[in-house]
Amino acid sequence: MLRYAAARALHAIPLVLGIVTVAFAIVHLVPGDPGRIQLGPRATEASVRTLDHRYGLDAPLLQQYVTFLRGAIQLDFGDSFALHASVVSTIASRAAASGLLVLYSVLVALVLAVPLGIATAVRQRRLLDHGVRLTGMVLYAMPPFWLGLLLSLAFGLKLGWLPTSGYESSFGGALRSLTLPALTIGLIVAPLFVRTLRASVIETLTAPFVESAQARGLGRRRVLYRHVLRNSSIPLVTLVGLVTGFLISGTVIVENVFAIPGLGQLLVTSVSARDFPVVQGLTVVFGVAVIAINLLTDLAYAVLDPRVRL
Amino acid sequence: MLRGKRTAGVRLLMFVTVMVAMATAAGCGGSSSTNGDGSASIFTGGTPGGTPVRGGTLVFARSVEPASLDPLAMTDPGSEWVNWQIFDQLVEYLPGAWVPRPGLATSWTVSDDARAFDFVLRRGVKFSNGDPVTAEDAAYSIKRLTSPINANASILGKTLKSVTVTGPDSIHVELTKSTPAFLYYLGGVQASIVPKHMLERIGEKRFAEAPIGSGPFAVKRWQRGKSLDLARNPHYWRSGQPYLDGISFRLTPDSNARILAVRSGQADLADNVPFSQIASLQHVPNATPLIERLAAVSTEIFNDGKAPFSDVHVRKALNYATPREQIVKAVYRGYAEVANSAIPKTSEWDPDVKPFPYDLAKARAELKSSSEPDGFSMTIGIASGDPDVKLIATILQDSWGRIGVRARIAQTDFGTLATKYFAGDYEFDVFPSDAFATDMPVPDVIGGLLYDYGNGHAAGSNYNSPQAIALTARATTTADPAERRQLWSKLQRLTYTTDAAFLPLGFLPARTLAGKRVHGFETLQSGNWRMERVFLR
Repeated sequence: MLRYAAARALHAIPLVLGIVTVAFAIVHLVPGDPGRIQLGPRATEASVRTLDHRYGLDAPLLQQYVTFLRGAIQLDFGDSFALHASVVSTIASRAAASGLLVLYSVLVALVLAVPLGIATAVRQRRLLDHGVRLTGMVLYAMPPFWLGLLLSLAFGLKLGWLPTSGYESSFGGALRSLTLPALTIGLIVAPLFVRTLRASVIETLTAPFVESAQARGLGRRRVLYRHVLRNSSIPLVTLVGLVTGFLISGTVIVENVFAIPGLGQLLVTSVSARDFPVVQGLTVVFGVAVIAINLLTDLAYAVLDPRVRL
Repeated sequence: MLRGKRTAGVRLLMFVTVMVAMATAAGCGGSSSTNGDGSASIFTGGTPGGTPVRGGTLVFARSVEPASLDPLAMTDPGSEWVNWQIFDQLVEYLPGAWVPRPGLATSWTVSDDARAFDFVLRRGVKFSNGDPVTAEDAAYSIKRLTSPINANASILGKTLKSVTVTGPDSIHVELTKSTPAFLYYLGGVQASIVPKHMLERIGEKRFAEAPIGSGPFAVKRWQRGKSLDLARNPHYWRSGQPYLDGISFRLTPDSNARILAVRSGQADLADNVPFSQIASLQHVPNATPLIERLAAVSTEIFNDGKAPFSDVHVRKALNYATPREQIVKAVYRGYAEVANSAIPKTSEWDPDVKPFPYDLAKARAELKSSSEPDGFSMTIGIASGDPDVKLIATILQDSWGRIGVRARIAQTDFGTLATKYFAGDYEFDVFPSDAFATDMPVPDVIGGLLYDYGNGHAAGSNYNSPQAIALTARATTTADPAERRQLWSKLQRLTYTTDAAFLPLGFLPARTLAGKRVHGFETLQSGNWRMERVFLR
């Protein structure tokens, strides 16, 4: 397994290089002068040129790319044009919030989805099954900003149980301030997990080993959670990996609604401000994160199913 | 288990239920609100005053965060209004009449030709680190107005010739030509007094991260993307002030989140309350929407250098075909005044200039006299993510369509819109509501930008009128107050009525939501807040 992980890490290097090159090209191709955007309409051409020179934007594109790559190898992505701080420190200051939010959201989704997925599979086409699937469709269709606001209104304003917005960096404070955002994302993502697990469990329930386990007198709960769930988990693990990778940068709307200083929001504001160093730095981070999540997903297969050889 | 036809019936019921639920969920949003009455009494003023109470930290949920804490470097609202709490200027603006008052300068004299200024500095003032504020600091700070990092250097520093220290508490400023508005410039945040030796020692970059000023508050902690915490400046020169122990500016981009934060007591103030929510917020128990006078106007821009917008008859036709009253009602919910000027109301604003009436007959007549008598197609450029701007564009598209002008709305991100705008690659752009605001009581800065083609091509509008250029040059340099007023009035009529150079819509107010415990808070016309006067009770 370790050898597999190391080989995958090596393979990731050209992949990340490719992602970064494409991102560099796209960002620089989009119209927009960072100096002009920052200084606004009142600035003279001389002021804009001074700022562009300070950022190295008047250098040839290839030179800018080489400078960027050289810095990236040393994990130095330069300074943010808009924030006037190092890209590494800017990303690091927001990575914790984003990381916690993603993990918390996936945990919420799994806590809801696993028992419901099994229950609806076992009670196919009964009231619980219809109710869960109908509720799931409504939640999945609901715009995240709207669901977030509803939850904020209910639990933050009306009941006063949780903060309506903001992020506290202490562990307890982070859990408290991320509960509503995580619930928002978790409720939208959970229906996907429920349906996937439900289909997989239905299929597994017809397997001969289930019948034989029941024939041996094993309890229903033990059969379901120890044998059926484990054998039904591969599709769910795949989906969890894909969703987690997406959520790394895809939580921007929820971050916006709840004022969470996360990486998604940083990406949107940096693209808007043509803050090239931050966009490029974030691309590397997201690329590495997705590759790492994919690797963990593959490793999880091997843990769940001993027949899988890496 | 249900089977057969009953199963199909259940499925149909489920489908219908889901569709209704989705439509309800997707369609709901915002809050229902009633229109403002659109009368002159839209202004509420600030929060109540009373006997100040010392203590407490005020939490301010803000829509934007500072880009830089160097007062010279940035003119965005996120930076500017925060920097005003950290720094002082030689002259300052207070609630009430919007005129320069003694700040770090206790008195001044201005030569008859408005080319020479002498300032006597306030004694005993210290920066927040305990260092004294000296005449060298004042001179250094004024000289910085010419720095290339100053986005307004083309105006604020344009006529600055020299600044010399004439005594331990006095400085002398010489200009290359008469600039009566220069005194007003010194009340702007970019003319903030900064510690010379510290800046020279650590450099502008580090200073912008951890600045030192003599204002009522000092930077305690700045967490980019999250919050900026200020603490009381123990050396502040106003005895007994500030009353607050500190201010925490919390970045909260979503307007609903800002409002909920104040309503739940998590925050005390929230800025940029959406127009659509003002009426409903007037009925909530523990928060009050404040609508206050602001020097801001919603002005949309033709590309005056590009056909057919280079034709004054086309511009006049579109101005006549713009339903301003409808826009004030539909977009600003009555909380705006129809604008009769492309620049905000300042000291030289002429109230007697008549706004363009909504008159389709006149619009068609102007179009018939123009280079496009049979109408034409055009593109309205807007930035994505702003519902007010989208609504304005939609109303214009509909109304202009009735005179034969077929407009397509093109949405792009703000960066692309701005780049195309400054490259002259646009026809007509609708900007966010706060795009044309000024922190100066005088029109010289914003008028100089918009009316003078030599200044960045009239702020990118390409309005090139030799008459406007000449009038602006005279208006910004005459030392005769009566002549100044007359010239600015002429400019207003020329640019608005005669040339219809732009499409002004409405004068806009400051919109803040205040929690019950906030007292003494007020937004000045410049957009600034005098937070040293605010207290919590």
